[in-house]
Amino acid sequence: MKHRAALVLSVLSLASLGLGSLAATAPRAQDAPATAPAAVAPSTITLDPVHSMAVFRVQHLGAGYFWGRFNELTGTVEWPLDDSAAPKFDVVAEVSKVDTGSAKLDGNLQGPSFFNQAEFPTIAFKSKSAKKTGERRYAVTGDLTLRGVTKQIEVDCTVTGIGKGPTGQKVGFECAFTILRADYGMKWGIDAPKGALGNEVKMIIALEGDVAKSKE
Amino acid sequence: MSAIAQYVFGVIVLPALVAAAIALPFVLRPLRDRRVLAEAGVACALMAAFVASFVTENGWIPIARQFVTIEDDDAPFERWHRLATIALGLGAAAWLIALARGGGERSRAAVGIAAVLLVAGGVAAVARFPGVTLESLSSRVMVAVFAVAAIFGFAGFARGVMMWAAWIVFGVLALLMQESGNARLTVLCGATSAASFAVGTLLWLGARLRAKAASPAGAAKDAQPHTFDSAPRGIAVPIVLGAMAAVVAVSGRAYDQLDVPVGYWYAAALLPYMVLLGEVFIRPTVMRRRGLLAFLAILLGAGVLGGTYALWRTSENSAESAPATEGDSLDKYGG
Repeated sequence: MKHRAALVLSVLSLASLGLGSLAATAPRAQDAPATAPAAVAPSTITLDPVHSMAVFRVQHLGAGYFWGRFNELTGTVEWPLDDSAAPKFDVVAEVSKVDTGSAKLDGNLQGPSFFNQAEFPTIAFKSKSAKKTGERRYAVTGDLTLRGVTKQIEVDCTVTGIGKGPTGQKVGFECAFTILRADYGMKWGIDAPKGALGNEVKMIIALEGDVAKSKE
Repeated sequence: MSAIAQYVFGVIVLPALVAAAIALPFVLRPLRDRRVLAEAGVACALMAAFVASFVTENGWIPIARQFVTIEDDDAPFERWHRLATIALGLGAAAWLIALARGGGERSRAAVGIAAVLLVAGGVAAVARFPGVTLESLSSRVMVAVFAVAAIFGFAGFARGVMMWAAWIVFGVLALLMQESGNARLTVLCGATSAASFAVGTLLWLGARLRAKAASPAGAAKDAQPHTFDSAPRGIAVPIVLGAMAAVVAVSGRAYDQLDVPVGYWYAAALLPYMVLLGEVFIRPTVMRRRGLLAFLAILLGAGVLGGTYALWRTSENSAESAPATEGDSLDKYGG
């Protein structure tokens, strides 16, 4: 009886040791031999207007820099979540959503001297190509249409993160570029009155959108 | 000179001087005595100020691209640029109107009416601006009717104070443009107002000098019945001023981003009708002959417009900055 119990115990011990060593030596997912990931189709990311905006900066009277904002950007970004390809942007800003903190200044910017909202109600950017410049970072080339003038520009874009919200996955982007507003017919304050406003405008675009759920 | 002073000189003062320089030969003999030339010359001078200010502000290309394709010009056409084209057209029309009315009394009346209708129809057809607008036939008819009304205001009630009436009307329009966030049209209206003042001063000085030069016995023969303003007789000047005031008011409304009440735009162009109101209290013949009284009536109208606008704007600003009282959603979180 004692021998039998000892035998059973030994067998059990050996079995548990064996299982433990097996567990220790079982290949983990991250130890799996590296293979090329399967290409993921680009996801359509629909911009959330509440969390998408653009800020712009221009020099005032050769002194300080004045910041303004375009609220509620809309549009889409096509981008595979595994970062296997560059994002493709199709973004629109409404001139009526310009926000400087001063209603009177907003009205001036919307008038014919600046954005001329009555004739050109939107500002749009549509990307054409991109090259990778780092981890989740791209130099995106595309067409900026402002005040009825379309010019090719290069935009430095970064994927800021992939998160999860109540409605599903969310992706964020941040892009920056600089333009000369005279190139788009917005010349007031450059030469007349001279030096009232700078020609160079720096823009930072913050985008956040919802990843479209894949169809079953 | 500071940059701002240079800018104001370039877009307002210089165009006014250009207008005065163009009008000067028509204030002096022998051209002064050629009524057709004097009438057309003065009307042209006022429109030249508008165009000069436009070109200083925006260059020639916005006008040229309306007619020809310009190499390397990738800027789009903007509809308010038509104002410069309209000013050029009115300047040219002034010559045709003045020449066409050279006949007898009957033909002058018929030509005058035809000129008013043609000019009003022409500006309504060309002045296609966004917003208010003018894509529909009814809107264009409305603009044409408004132009006729504005022309009649200058021709019928601002006689004897033509330049001073234009000074006030375009000055008020400049202020409305400023209030609507339209810096471009502010300076264009300012230039036209300044030009009206400059030309009015020139005409008045010319009349005073002529009155002094005339012999005491013949002074009554040469003196104007109302020496406050000595704009040439004829319909060309009021047609040009009325049509331009109307179309500028319509464009101001179309591009307004700060919600200036619609009525102010129309009231500004129709300020000469204040002379009609003055006639309720003072005899019409006295009112129209005593140019100063008519001028004061128009000035009073501008003052009333300005005062009511200031009150309205103050009440708007007070309403916007009023703190939230009831129904503040944060209250439900306590504290």
